[in-house]
Amino acid sequence: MTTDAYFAELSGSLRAAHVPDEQIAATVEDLRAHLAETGTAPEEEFGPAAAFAAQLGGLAPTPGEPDGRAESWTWTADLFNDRRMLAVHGDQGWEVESLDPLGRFVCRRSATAALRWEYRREIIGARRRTKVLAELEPEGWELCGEWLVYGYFKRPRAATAGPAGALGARPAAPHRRLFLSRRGKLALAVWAVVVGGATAACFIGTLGMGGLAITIALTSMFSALFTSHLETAKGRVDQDRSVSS
Amino acid sequence: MAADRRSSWLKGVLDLLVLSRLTDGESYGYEIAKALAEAGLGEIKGGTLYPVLNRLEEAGLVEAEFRAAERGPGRRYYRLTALGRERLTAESGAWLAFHRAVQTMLSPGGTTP
Repeated sequence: MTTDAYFAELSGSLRAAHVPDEQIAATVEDLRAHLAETGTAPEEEFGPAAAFAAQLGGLAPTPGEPDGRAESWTWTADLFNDRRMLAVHGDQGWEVESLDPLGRFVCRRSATAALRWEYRREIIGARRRTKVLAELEPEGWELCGEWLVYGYFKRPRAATAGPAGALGARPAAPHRRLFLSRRGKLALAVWAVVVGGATAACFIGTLGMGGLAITIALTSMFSALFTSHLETAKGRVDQDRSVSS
Repeated sequence: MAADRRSSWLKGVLDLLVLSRLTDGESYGYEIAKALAEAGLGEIKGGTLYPVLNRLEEAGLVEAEFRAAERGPGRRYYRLTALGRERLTAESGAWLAFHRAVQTMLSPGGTTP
């Protein structure tokens, strides 16, 4: 993209965010002066135009910025359902700020922000981490949380959709906080039955406290392995399908 | 991994570093980025710096004035406000206290050298 095309797109996105024309002109001139000194290409220096405009134009909520009017909402889903629910809630303007120690998505939605978010999940084990970050960050993706080996990335939808990435309707914050898929519910039910049985056995004296602890640990481990195995298998199928299509 | 960490650390303190760069007088985006790089803080891209400057301006911690240049594009100059100076003093103290706590934990034996 040429410098002029970049600044044309930036101006268009800032205009869509209702930034006054005079301010847009001054911003573009200031940024051109910056490039004249760095000698870098605009996309390399500022990132994708629409995403940069979202940050400059006050569309994007500021990470960590105190905002008394911002809504907050914490929720979780199982591994089968997380990406689908992230897409749904991202479209409603919810930005994931972090994952808490329980693996819940801590979200906020600024009262002034009018931005939709898109998300993706990647495996970022120790070896893949640097590679994945190097691939995704230039495209505007920001790591917003980690759970086990999974990294969750967010990006304002404006980065790809331009002004169409702005939030239209603003549905009320959902009352629900847990979104389980059918397979997630099944795994949880099996876990509850085994752990419930072991707890009952512990009460009537056929299983010691050590046995109970081991049962809970093993059941949790197998449940986690089972869900992540299913999810990995599903990921491979999806990947094969996208390659063949 | 090290670069990733440095970037996270910088994210938490970049606004203070920008404010501190303005204590001696006004400056503009590129000059601020250059000063931070020369201080050993690494390269701060415009895509990171300008949104921070915008937020500081919106919060009333800096004032910006656009001036046309005789040659080439004009620039926006930033100046620290009284509120910005006050915030810088308070937050710098908090950061230094945090830094000392980290230093104490990381020093051999858990004591400040």
